[in-house]
Amino acid sequence: MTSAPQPLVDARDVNVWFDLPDGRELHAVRGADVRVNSREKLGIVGESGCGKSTLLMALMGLLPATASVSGRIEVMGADLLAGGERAFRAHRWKDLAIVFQGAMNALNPVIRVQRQIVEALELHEVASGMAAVHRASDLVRLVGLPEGVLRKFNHELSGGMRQRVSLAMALACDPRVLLADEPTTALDMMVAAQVLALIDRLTRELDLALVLVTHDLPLVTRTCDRIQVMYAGTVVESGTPADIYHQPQHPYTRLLFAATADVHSDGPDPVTILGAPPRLDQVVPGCAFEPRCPHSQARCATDVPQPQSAGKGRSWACHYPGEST
Amino acid sequence: MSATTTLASVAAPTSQPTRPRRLLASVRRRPAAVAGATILATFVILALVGPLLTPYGVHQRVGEVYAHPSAAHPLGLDDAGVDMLTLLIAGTRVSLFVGFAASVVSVIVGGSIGVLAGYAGGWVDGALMRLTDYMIVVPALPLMIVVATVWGPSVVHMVLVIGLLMWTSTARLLRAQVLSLRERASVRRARAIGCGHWRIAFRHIVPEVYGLLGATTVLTVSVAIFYEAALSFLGLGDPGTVSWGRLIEMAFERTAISSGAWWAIVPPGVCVALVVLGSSLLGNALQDAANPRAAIAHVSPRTFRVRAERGDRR
Amino acid sequence: MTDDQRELLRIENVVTAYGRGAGVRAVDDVSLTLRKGELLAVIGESGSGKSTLALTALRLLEPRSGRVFFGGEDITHATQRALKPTRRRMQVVFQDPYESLDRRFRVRQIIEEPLLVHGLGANRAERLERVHAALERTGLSPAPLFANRFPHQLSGGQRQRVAIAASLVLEPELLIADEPVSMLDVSARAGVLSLLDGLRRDGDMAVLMITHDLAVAAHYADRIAVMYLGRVVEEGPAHKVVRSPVHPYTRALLSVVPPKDPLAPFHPQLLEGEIPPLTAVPAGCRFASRCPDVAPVCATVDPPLMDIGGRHSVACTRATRQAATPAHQGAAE
Repeated sequence: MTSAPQPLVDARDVNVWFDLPDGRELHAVRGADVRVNSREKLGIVGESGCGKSTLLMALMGLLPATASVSGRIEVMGADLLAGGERAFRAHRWKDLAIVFQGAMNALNPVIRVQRQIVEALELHEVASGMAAVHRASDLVRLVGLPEGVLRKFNHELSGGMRQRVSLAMALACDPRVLLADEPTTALDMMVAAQVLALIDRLTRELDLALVLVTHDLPLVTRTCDRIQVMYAGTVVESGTPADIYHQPQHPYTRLLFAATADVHSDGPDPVTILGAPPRLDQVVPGCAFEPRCPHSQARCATDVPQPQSAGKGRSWACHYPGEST
Repeated sequence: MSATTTLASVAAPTSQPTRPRRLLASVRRRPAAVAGATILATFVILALVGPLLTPYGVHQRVGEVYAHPSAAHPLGLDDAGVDMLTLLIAGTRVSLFVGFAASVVSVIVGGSIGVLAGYAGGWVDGALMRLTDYMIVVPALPLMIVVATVWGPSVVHMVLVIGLLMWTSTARLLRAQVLSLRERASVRRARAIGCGHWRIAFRHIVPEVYGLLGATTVLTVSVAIFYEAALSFLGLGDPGTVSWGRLIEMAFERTAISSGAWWAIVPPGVCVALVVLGSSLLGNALQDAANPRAAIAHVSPRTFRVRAERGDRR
Repeated sequence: MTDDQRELLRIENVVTAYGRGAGVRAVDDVSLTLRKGELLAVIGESGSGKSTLALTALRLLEPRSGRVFFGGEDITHATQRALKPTRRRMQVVFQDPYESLDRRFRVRQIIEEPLLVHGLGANRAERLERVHAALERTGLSPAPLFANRFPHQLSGGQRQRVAIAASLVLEPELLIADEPVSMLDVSARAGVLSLLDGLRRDGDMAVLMITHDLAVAAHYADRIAVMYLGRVVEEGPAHKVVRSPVHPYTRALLSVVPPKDPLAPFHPQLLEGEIPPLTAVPAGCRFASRCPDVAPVCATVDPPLMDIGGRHSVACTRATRQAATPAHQGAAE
């Protein structure tokens, strides 16, 4: 534990392609790196279709048969892509657990909550019989639900309770890393805040590392220690929340903040980022953000900007970083 | 910041094929659907050009009773010495006509009831669905026998009897579909614009179920053809026409089996089976394509592939 | 009553319920006024009744009691047939631009349909001209290029603009926007919102925007009404509601929205539990069961919406103890 800090998750140059029905390929994730250290909270932020969820699923090894992956995905030192499904299965849920946005679909509608948790525990050989039943009650209490929830069906629970139950199930095997894909997006404001506070408390109490994927910039900068901004399958900037808010280097990061309204201060009106993200079934010759970038220059259309590192997890991929409006 | 969208953002629209073309593409991707379409197309062509294929008439005696298959008569002769192949081709016409016509009748009736019940809701829905429930409970074949007997044997009666007793599943399917369409945002928007019921029903809802109607029609053909054969076999077919069911009935009655004349009975049976198979295969595939939510997801035990290459290779 | 010439929509003590008999009161005694050129944001969580309120204002639902006035005319119990001319004057933009546009129609047909339904535009050429004008107004320029596209060929923001254009073509006086940007990407939101904002500033059009996004409401709305469990609990000028919220529910909601600056102070004040179901509305103050400032009196007294000055009103016994006049009598005089 006290030896050299080996990252819990160390994924490098991950690419994910999906086969399209017409034989072409969609290059959804384009050389993304993800590194999560023990107890670290990493936020991955980007708009729909930027590849953030696909990247998360690649870490879990939960991609469909139409997908192909390249790169290196190491979890606690083990190379999972080399080890195949068996290697993923050894870590999935035991070391890496995930909660999704649609907690609705995560639970079986015709089985009571208790049996679902117990089955998960038995399947992963954490506990069985009465021990599993006790563990289920512990888990439910851990996520702040009354034990009565155990006897309910999915449809008898509110959205917030469902998300808590899926958190309980994710924690069943004492994972080291919790992956959360838009965990609060489908929830109401106050319920979302409750669930987020719960995730925050659990990561602290259980020494979990967190990977939070969301499109909500204020939420992610508030929750996480380190942020990766994704655009068109690539990580365009990463750094601490203060770094990317106060010294954004990539114009996309800056525009994302400028597009976000702030309820607490009378800033200028939010801006629109003109145009649309590039189609990922085509090759992008230069910087993927070039067509929408207000500062683009000739070079941006032809050369792909390589990530520049400034140490301590701070990096960006832009030919003209820091260029402000 | 002005609210103008640049031309650049329109320049690359996502090329998504239109609905009919997507339907066709998704049918083409299913081998079962291609097989079904091929079978049906073959029989339809046979029915259209059939009489040109054989030189004999359907009442023309060309040889001995139950003569064995030969080069001149590949399927032998029937109990009156008529060429079986000629009869089979003539039967294709009548059987397919009854099958398709009855199916169309049932889809028109069932479709109208389903759409009306789904769209109107309330007591209209209640009454129509109760009626449908009663029709489902009634055993179809005995009722068909009774009605066909009362009305007397004719092709038109056959079409009506079958069509009017088979619409229940179509009605339920369409009602369910319309119920969900009615709650769609686009329909709510139409209502908010001020569209009347007529416009909402025929411009915003019914066109959405054309695909499903087509699929149901094809699917119902299989049942209709089967019932045609069954009714004819029971002697309720039009005695003036030749259909597959009539051929089987006649062969059965005129001791084809005890005479060992399999060629008089097996080919029409195979034809019925093939058309039933073809229309179920195609109909099911169309239904899946028209109503993807009803389709079962094909869970694949295969997992993703791992590549050695780097991302920036292309 | 007509001294305020700018008044466009007035909802008085409206109760809208679902189901038979007394039913479930999704909107329970709500009064609101919307003036020409005004943008009113109705904020609330699911179950607050904000969407039901919009449907009642549009008269797509009929209230059980109370009255709805549009342009000075009482439309509370008008028949759908009698409402048709009014329908043209009140249009709605729905949340989901992917679902709400019929994918079988071209943009031109989508925008032309309201004209056909209301018998506007003498011939095809004139209608097309109006379609193009509406597209240009929503920033979809050049219009002929967009007019021939299908919805699936457009981005989410562009689709929402098409939906707005299909409303604008009727030159409505009231536009009800139900979560107009919640399905859109952050990069496209500001465009659609500033479009709505500009439309009501240009003309006499008023906008009623239903949203759960306080930041959006704070930025674009003139007035904000916060709903909780079928009631308006706080209503007033946007800057007042956001900068100096009075109702404990408004205060809690605002406190859980993180500021953009990650270093700015942030002290979320979480409420316990969730909104109770409409079938079990608590006696007394509806918010008492979750209120951090609850007092004994709250269990028995159901506080009315009271004006606390400056067209700002609050329904909270503790907060309005000093104030005198009930809000909607006070405001009308």
